[in-house]
Order: sequence, then C-alpha cells, then structure tokens
Amino acid sequence: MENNSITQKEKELVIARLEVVSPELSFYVGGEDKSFSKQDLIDEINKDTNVGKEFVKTQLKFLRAMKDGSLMKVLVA
Amino acid sequence: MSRILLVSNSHHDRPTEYLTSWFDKIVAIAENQSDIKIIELKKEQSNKKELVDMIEKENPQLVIFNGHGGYDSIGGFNREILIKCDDNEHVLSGKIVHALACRCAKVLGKKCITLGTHCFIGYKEDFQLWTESKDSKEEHLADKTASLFLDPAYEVIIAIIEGQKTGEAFARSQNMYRQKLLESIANGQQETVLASIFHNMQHQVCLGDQTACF
Repeated sequence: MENNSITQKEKELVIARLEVVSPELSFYVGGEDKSFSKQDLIDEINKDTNVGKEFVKTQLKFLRAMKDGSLMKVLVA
Repeated sequence: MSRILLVSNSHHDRPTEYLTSWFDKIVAIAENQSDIKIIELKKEQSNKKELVDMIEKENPQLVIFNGHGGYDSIGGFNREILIKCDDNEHVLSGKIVHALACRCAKVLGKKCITLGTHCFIGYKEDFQLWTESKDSKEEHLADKTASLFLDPAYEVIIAIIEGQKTGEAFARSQNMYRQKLLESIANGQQETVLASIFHNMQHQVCLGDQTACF
C-alpha cells in the first residue's frame, strides 16, 4: 500500500534537488495554465498546494525506483 | 483519400502552443502519405460543436486531441469541454483516439472503449512537461528539453500514421521513452526533469484493441 503522506524531510530533499535545476526551465502540469519556475515549485511545495504535493510524489517515486532497481528493470525491458 | 485524421489543437496557452508546434511534425509526415486527409480544428475552432459536426460529417478513423484534460473529459480552446463522460463520448465509437491531455485515459478512455472506441491512447494521470519556455514555433521545435517529453509522446501517432497496429505503436512510444531516459541519464540531465519523463512513461496507456490500424 502506497503511503501518500509527505514528510518534511522528503519535501526538503525534493527542494534541494530543485535548487540545481537550470533557471531557464519551466514546468507545466495538469490543468494549470501557468508555468512554474523552480522557485515557483519550491513555493508550491512549501505551501502544500496540490501542484507541490504531486510534484514531490513524482520525484519520490523516481528516487524509489532508482533505489530499488525498478527503474533499471523498466529501462532495459 | 481513404484515411481521415481529425485533430483538435486548442492552442490557447504556452503548453498547448508547444503541442501544436510539435504536432506540425506529424502533419508533415501525414502529408507525405497520399491517402491521408488531415482536418485541423485550431484555436477557436477547437470547440464542442465544430468537433462533433466534423466527426459526423467526415467520419475520421483517427481522432487526436492536443489540449488540457481531466479524468472524465477532454478540453478544447479556452478549456471548453469537447468530450465528456455520460454526455457525448459515443461520438468516438469506432475510432482510434489519441489524447495528449492530462488524466483523461483513466475514466473517459475506459468509458470510450466500453462504448465502442477501437483504441484509446493517452495518459491516466497528469502529463508533465519541462521546457525552455520559448515563444516561437521554431524555438519550440529547437527546445531540447521539450523534445525529451514530446518526441516519445508523439511517436505513437507517427507509428499509427505509418500503418503500425496500435499496440505496436504504443510499444514504439514506450521504447522511445526508455531511449530518452537512458540518453538523458548518460548525458547527465537533471534528475528532477527525468522524474517527469518517467512519470509520463508510466502513465501512458493503450486501451482497447491492440491490433487496430488507421
């Protein structure tokens, strides 16, 4: 069963990873008309908005897939 | 002309402008196939009435949506709902559908299949996109970050236009997602961006008849 709660440490991890993203990049998602810079995303995460929560979940899934080897299994399938 | 492709390009904000720019690559490929007629509903034309009228009049075998979406709907220009569950999804019966729109494969796509859509290819959750946020079509097409997302997403349509079965086309798209991820890892692409490609790959689905052809 997937745990949907996000801890403060997990948020900090994702924010630390965002800090190194190029400032030239913009992120678009879902029904949002606006783009999100890395600073916008950090603000969304800190404010616990839906965009922030979904962004953190995406990042954590990727990190877990790297850690448990499932990413590599998918990539070499 | 024996094959008819109908596309809705809502083209009303930056992400949908990127989709339109990228879709022009597909138009160029389709135009090289002498038997394909392309009907495009762009901007204000991407509305419910024109879409339904055009489907009834032209009976396209392939219907493509480039816009925003929700679990039970697909949107057009300025988010006008084009297709919605328990309203008009039956108009897609007998067709192959591709939706580059968030979430709509999860509920709407499944419902379409139960009502006779041959195949529905799309995304069960949000489609995430990173770009260099450029303005012009030429800059969109030169945006290497956007290409990591849009090349694999549109590969499935190119394969369908080239005559591959829907299941084969889906596999080709999934393989391109893998290729983009592997190349990006090797090139040291930022992992934050890779996570979004992985997200899109994992939520892309091909529902219904895997042997349908356009």
